Amino acid sequence: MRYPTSEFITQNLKSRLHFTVLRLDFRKAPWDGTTDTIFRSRANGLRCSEKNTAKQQNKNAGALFLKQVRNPMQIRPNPITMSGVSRTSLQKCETRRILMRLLMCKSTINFGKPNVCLVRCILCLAGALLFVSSSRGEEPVARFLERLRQQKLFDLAVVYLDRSAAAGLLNPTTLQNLELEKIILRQESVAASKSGKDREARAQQVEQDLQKFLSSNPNHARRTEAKLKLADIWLTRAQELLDKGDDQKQSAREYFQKSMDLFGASVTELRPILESMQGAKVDPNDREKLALRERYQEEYRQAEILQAYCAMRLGDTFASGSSDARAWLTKAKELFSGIIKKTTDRREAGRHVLCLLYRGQTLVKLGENDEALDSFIRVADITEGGAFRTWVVQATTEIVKLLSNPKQAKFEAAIERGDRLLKTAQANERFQPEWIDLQFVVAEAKLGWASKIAKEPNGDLRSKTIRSEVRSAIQALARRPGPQQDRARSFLADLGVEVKDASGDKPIEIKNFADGMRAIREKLDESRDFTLQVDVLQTRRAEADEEERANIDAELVRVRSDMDSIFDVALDLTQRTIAQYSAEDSREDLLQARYYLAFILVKLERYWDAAAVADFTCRSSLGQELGQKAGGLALFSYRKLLESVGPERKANFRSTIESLSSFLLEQWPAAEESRVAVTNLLQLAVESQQWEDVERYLDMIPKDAPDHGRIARELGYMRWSQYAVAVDAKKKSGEELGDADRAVLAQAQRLLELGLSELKTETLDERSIQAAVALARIYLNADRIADAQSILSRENIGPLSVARSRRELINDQRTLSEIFRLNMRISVLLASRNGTPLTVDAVQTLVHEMNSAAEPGQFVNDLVLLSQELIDQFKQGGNVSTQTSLLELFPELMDQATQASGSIELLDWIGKSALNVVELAKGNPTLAPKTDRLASVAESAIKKMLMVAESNPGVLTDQRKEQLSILQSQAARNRGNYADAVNLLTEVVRKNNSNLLAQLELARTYQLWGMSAKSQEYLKAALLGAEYNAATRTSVVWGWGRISQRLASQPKFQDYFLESRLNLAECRYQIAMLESEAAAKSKTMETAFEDVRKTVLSFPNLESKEWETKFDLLLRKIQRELRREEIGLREFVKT
Amino acid sequence: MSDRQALNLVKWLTLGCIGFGIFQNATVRGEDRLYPAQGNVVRGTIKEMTRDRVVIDNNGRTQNFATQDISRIVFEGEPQSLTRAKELVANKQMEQAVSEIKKVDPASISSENAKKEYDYYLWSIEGRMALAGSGDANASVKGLLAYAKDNPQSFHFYEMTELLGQLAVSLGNFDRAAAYFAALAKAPAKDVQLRGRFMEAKALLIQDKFDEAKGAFSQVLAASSDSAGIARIQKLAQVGLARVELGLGNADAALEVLYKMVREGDAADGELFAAIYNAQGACLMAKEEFDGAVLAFLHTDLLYPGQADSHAEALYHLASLWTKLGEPQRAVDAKSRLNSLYAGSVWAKK
Repeated sequence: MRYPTSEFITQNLKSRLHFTVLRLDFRKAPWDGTTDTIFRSRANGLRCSEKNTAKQQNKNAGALFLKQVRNPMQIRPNPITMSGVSRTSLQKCETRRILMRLLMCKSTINFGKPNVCLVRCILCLAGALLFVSSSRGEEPVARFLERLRQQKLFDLAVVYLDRSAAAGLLNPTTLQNLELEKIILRQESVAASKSGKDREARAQQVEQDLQKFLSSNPNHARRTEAKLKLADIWLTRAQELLDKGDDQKQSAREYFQKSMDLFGASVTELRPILESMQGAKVDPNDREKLALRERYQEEYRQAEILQAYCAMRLGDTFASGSSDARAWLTKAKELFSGIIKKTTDRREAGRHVLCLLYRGQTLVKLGENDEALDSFIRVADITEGGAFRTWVVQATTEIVKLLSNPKQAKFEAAIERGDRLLKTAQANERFQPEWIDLQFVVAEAKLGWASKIAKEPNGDLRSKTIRSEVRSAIQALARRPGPQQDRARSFLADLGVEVKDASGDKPIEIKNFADGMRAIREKLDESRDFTLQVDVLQTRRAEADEEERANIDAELVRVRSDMDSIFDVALDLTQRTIAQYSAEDSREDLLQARYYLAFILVKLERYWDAAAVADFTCRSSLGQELGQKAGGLALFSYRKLLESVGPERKANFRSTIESLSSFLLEQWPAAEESRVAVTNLLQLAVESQQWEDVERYLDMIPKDAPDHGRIARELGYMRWSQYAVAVDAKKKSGEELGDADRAVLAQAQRLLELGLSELKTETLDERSIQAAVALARIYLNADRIADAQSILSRENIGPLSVARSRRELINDQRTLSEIFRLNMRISVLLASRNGTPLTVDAVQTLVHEMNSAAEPGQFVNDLVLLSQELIDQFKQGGNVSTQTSLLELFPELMDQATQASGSIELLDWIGKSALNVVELAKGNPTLAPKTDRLASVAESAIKKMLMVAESNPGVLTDQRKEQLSILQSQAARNRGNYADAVNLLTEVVRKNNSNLLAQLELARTYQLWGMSAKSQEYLKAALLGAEYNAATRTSVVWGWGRISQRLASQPKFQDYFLESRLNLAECRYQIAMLESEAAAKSKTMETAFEDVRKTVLSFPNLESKEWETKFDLLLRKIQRELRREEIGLREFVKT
Repeated sequence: MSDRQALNLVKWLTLGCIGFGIFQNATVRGEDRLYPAQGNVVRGTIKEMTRDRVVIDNNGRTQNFATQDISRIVFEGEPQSLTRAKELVANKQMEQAVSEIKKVDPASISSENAKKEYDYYLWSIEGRMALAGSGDANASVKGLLAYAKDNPQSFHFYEMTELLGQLAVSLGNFDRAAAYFAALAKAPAKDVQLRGRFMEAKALLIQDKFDEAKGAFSQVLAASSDSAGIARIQKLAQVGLARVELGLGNADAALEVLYKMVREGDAADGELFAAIYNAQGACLMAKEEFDGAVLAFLHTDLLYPGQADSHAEALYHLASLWTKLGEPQRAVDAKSRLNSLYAGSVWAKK
């Protein structure tokens, strides 16, 4: 039994019912508590045309109400009516809502007195506008809390209140009520909690919080509200305990008693307050006081009703009929009757009806059935919708029960009343708890009636018909997932639907094949109920907590066991039926029986037998549809068997499945089973990496089948991915690609070409786009640039076309970026081939497209990737003309990008990438002379970057600026502009003398400058440094000598150290070579020799083969000049 | 026939004649209708239309309207669907406006002005839909540019330029957007100028050019506030400035400003408050206060879902933030709503 919480009474009775009641014109016929009055009022007050609107509104209100009734703990307090202070934003919100209600119902209220209504609406409108206008300058707390509640985000709502309070966003009134609001939110969260433990913990916490609130806020304006909430919690707990069983009755009684006492105390507390606020004692202009009085009145009434309700429930905690039980129930009856007498005002119509209902229930428990019936009829005869409708259903249920009990046995009257109401039930109502209860009691009444008339002459047939009706009604409830299923199942079991002798105590007798077929079908029909139950249980299991899950598991085991029993019986039946087949029977029926046999074997998980029977049935079906289905069963069974056998037997299975698949395809080429068969085969081949079979299996699918192309693309893409992974791995390990890799690539290409040739606009999907990108990459890597472009840019279905016009088809950002990168690569290469450099617009479009496809911050990464791809292309070397073209187009492209962009990231990339390519090209004598332009582009990019940085102070750090200067110097040096490079670098080291990279670059630049200009001066600067400062006795530019000294003891700079030692010797060698006098040359050359010797002896292993080779080569040059044996580093071994 | 029935008949006939008369007047006399942004509709004949002003002759009395003060103009001979589409646009009901303008058969329009209006509304609605995430931005730009080429003195000029700027931003074409917004600076009306500067600042913010954006927003805020329109732009600029502070790493300072704006602002201003809450969310995300960030974005999601751009942004962030709060189902819901409501938006494409 559900009970009304305080909120329920406050909110649903106040606003919703008040609204409902407003639509009844009680002004014409003052409310006297009789249904007749309601009818009259309705007839007078509503015009026909408005009836539908009113009904619809009632329905909506009813739906809301039911939602809350089903989850009593979810019924939340409305801070608006509870706060009692009219100026809060919470109230403003409610005022607007009330206004909306009034406006909504204006067409249905009292057309006889339009002026009164109009005035009321205008007054409300004025009031609401006043609040709306005063809503400026506030966090919309009420609205937001309301929405959070709707979203069941109670915990987050608490966080919100705390955060808002901390940020000073709450007004004083809300702040004053903050603690209580938070407790209320936590209370609301109890019902939303998913696990039983959590729910209990939350409820306990709320209880403690409320008690703490009450003890620490003795004069709080919302104290009574808090009390009612606490009493609600106890009432809930009492209810739960009572539901657990008789042994918990004592504990339940204590909670009911506590709850009742608290409700009673609230009544006692409020009574004198309300007396002091009666009538004219409150100034009619004091809106706050009026609102407060209204709230107290509501709280008073709800406390009264709940007090009575507790008394009723206390009666339930004693043995039925005991004096204690009777005493409590009598008290409840008196209390309810008292309230019924008091609630004659139209605004309290809802409370009045509710108390009638509860009084009826109390009277039933007291055995005063006639009086109870009267109470229920007064409720059941109401035709109003909304919350009333729920009570009507409940009252009708009680009436049906009363009329159909054995003493009364007025089955027909009961059924007529119940059915009449059930006929009016909407589809969405039928499965609501109250309606389900009604359906069950009506079903019981019908069964009672059926039993009664079965005893009458010729009543047997009618009785059977009624039972059949009941069965189908309850089966409908059993089929629908929900808590009613157990009850329905049990009901059906009692009705005799469920087979209790499923294990076959007594085999079902069959007379012939046809009889057997009927019996099999019946048995399989029965099995469907179990299948339904398994589904339902599994669904429930997925949503259950651990505790419930264990119970559901046990239930599942039981149901499955019952189901297996049914199938065992069905198996036996089927085998016996097939044995009874004779020439007179239909061959189609035999096929059907075999199919049933295979199906039952699958259900019993006897897959070997199932596969054999199904395979045979399929092949012997002569093309009938049932054979196709049997093929599906056979494939399923084979697949199941495959999961359990070892790899050595899998090959055998594959040949069996292949044979069956071929048969299916031949017989039913378009059937789903055939498609599944081949897909299975393909899956098996892929799983076992039997790629040589894949294309053969693919050929089995008809070319015009819609899946053919899609599967080919999937497989091709899979192969391409495998190839890409292998390439990546081998690249990292330095291995060469082998024949096997090339075979994978070739198959990927074949499959992709096949799949993409069948691609149409309507079959276009993301994978097909990825497949096309993969094929374009294959073509590009094979230098088939035109083919790559063709596949990328196919009209409507090419990746580029899709990316430009139907981008929503591409969800994967990487695919989108890759498309535009590929496009750029292809465009560059094609331009190179055609000798038609890209136009400015073309480059800008390409860059823009890449940018638009990239995620924030991803654009630069895309460009880096593109750079890497172009550099990779460049590195592939094979085709010198392509390399030359790339080298010529690369600067064009980058120059355009430099012009087009003001982005520091892009310019940075251009600078670095260009220099990277320059460095690579310098190693090739054919390409080296063509690097000037690219170096110049790099320099421009860096200059522009610095310009951008200048106009945006703070964009670049000093360190970053130094790095840029170094990059700029590299670009200048690469163009042979050594003076600029030295100036740039010197500027850096002047500001930051310990910038090692700059010092290294300076030494390198001076050295190259010296070698290029054949200048001892620059070589000496490289060696010894430059810009000597006499005061500090140091040089601003260190030179290789000082660099090597500084790095000698720093192992982390080992490579730089070795570089400095090598170049130290190299510089001396170069200086020596420029000496005009032999003695001076020899002396300097000896020093160079010594430099190498000292280095080699100090670092005998020279860290790596690379350095050893370099020192060895240099030493050989020196040895040659010193006219010694050119034995390189072996000289020191000898030493 | 009873007296009452007879009386009713007379009433209906009278009403019918009056109605018919009005209808006759509307078709025979022919007149244009100018709907000011504030105030009553003015009927008459449009005498002059430039990008800066419109002159209407109402029975010999001419009235001048600055273009930014005009909500819409309905021209004589205009198809009803076009008129309705204009009204829907004025009410920001774009989806309904799309279906309405689709009903117009351009071949059936005889009036030259109405033809131009059709062209403008067709592409501007498309553009506004694109900004809301479901239109074709490129097509709109193309259409509007063609319109602009043919009608350089259109009274829609500034409105269209702003839209083109916004579309350019949505397409990532910031240089072009800057040019459009700069064109607004040449408008005679101060609030149009400021709006252009504000839009420009927003575009800079999108590009993470915080210093430049700061300068631009500050300029907007420094302008003297002599109209409600300007005051509103300045409030939006204040939110922009808070975003800049966030970009510069001063999340706390930004939050302080935003909280103050909430305390002092009008929550009924959806555009402003959605922007404030999104900015709050971004600040709290930066501070890794994820529950606070979720709450901020939820404000936009639950209270201001009509603000398409802000709503899309909020959904985008909620899709990732919910996961951090251990609510994957809500994350999926946010993501799917983003994809279904704003499929074409920059947020859905992120």
